[in-house]
Amino acid sequence: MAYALQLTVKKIENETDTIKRFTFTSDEIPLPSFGAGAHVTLHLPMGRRQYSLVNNPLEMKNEYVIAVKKISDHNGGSGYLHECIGQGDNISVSSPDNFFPLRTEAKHHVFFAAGIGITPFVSMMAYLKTIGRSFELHYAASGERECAFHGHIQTHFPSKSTFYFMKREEKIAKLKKALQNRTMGTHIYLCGPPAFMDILLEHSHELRYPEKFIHEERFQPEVRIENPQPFFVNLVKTKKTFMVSSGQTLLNALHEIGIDVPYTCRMGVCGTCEVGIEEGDVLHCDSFLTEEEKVGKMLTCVSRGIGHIKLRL
Amino acid sequence: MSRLNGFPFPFTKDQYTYSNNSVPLDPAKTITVTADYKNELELIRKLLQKHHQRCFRSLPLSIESQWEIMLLLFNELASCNPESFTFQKMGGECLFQNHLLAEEEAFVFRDVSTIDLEPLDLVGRHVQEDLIIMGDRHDGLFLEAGQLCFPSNWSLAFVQGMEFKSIHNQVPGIQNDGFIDKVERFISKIQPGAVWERKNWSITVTNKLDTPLETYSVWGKHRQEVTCENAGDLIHLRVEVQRLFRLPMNHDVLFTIHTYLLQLNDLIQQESWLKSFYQNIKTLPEEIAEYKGISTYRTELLRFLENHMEKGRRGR
Amino acid sequence: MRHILILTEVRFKKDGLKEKELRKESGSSVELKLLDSPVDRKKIEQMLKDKPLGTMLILYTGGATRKLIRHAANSAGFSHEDVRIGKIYTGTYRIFCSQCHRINGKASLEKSIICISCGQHLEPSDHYSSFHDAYLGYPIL
Repeated sequence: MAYALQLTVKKIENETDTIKRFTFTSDEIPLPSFGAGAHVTLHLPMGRRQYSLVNNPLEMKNEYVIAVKKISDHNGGSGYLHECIGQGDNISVSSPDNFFPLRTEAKHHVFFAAGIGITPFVSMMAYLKTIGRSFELHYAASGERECAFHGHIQTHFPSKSTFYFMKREEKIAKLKKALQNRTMGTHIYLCGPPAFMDILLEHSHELRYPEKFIHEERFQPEVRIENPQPFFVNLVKTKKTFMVSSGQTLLNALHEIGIDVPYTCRMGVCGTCEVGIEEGDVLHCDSFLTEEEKVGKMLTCVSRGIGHIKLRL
Repeated sequence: MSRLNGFPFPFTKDQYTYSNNSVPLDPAKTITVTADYKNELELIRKLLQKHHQRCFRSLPLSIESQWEIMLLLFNELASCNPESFTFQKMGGECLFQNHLLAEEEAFVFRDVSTIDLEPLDLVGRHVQEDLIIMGDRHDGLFLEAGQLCFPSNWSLAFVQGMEFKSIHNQVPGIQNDGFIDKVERFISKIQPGAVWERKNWSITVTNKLDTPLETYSVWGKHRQEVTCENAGDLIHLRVEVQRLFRLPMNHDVLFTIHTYLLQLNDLIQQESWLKSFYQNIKTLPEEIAEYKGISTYRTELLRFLENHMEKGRRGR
Repeated sequence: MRHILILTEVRFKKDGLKEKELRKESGSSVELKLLDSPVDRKKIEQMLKDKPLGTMLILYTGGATRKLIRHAANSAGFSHEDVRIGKIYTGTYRIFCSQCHRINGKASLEKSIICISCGQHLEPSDHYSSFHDAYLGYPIL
């Protein structure tokens, strides 16, 4: 239930030639607190974009800070932020969510970053330093000049950080080596371009590290149906057929014809209204079912059929 | 009638159902201050003083979440009840003033040398709720700390450190269709800052809020004493308003339990409640009745309720 | 296949060795260590800290030692599911007294017992806590 906050751009600073740091604040409301690894969602004209917060959660002074690398022209999110947003502008920002939390139970945290993937770790390292926990950073970039937060990291965490500016082959070999010989209590965090994460992930499999100790930052795009389409439903047990109109949920339609499917949240998060799918394609919009479960089940409060579906009811 | 006002009557259907009946709360509040504040706080503190081992438990892992909860609850008390509480934070320096109890707590955030108790234990002495921290570990939810004065027949000492699933494995039918797994998954997906509320009910045969398993031999025997005549006096509907909150900073889950009691004599004043309560007791599956400790006197209770419904019909 | 560490008390050495052979056959790298008596928690914790990431610990010990090692393992960074209990009959069950919290050692879960500390008549249940390594005993009125 992230909700939108109306914030003001307080500061824009150059981090590198292609990366800018944006500071958002509000004079009216206290900003919700957040955890290391959290992100905010910016509501931009071209859609919603998620960025990791780089502040220290324990020293937040009613500000959210993000770092954005320009990877598009002004028609894309990053280009728009770089070219069209200025100090004093207002921007709509969803309250923070966190898909990449620190594991409190870890005895030692090891971060692997490449490029702009450094952002969640900037917040994590500041937090861990404040609470006195053990960590180390392995950070790959094309060079010192392109390396975001290089000075900041050198100043605050010099003994805990290793930079990798060498050629690709050598870089990969060294990063792999840094992954080896880890002991119990270590949690490993990866953030960077997919190719970078895949290489390290694969190597961690070779080292027989269980997946539960390896964490990746993955932004989950919000699934929202912009213009819902009507669809037909067959109930195979009760032998009923009906149509769900574009303005209706499947759950409502079932209730209307007297099928008492239990429900609670009506937001696709609690799993109460799940039903079995007999046949047909489904547009899943919940955040509850696993990918395997989605093959045979759907949550009727938010998900919709495509064309014609058959349900085990 | 004043006892009826604000009582969180739990039954929405005329039949017993067991489900994940959580609803999102807006605004997201984790606690409530009621007219019983002073009395209950006096009782809470007495219990903590006399039976600390029974009422407070914590694992070292919970300390950061404890601090976060302390700030959260002091903030919430002050912002929702500014006439009764004040909270100021300047950098790490914090001052909480409780005007209802004429007390204040001054401390430095995350500096254990500035407080005499653990943070959860301290803040728990200013709210009516029982407070539980469920640690969100990579292999599930674990009960890592709690200040629990008003349990309904369970033991904090026994369940500390336990997995969420194992804590609940005595609830009849909870393993059916992977129900408990679903609830755990639901909790583990609650977003930072969001509060979900559910109501859980049971019956106590006294007006005691503190009915821990540890003193069952003292309060449990009253279950044998219920008759059709004294049910109105002895029996109390006990409702726990339970709220789940994802701590934004530490990603653990705060579970608050606010317990309300309503004497049956008061409950039956409201005709719709009487009817609904009766239907639910009547349709309660035997194993649930056994689990909730109602089996011993269910017949007497139903007869008492039937008599009153009959009276109501004749009175009209 | 995960690295496996088996810790066993001398009295369960046979069972530990059997487990080791089975695990080896399924392709794991297995290490077996005999526990000193009495067990030194600090020493155990230190030893566990240096184990490779992904190590699974299997215990062949009595209840009290099991609890101690589990807690040491948690401090060393082992999670709940990284610690497994070997299938052995130790001759006793640990019953947690719900009235005074004393853990009683008993030969069976079937019969009711009297708590050695508070004298409460208890009925053992199947409600098991891995944290205490004990079953909850409910009061009988």
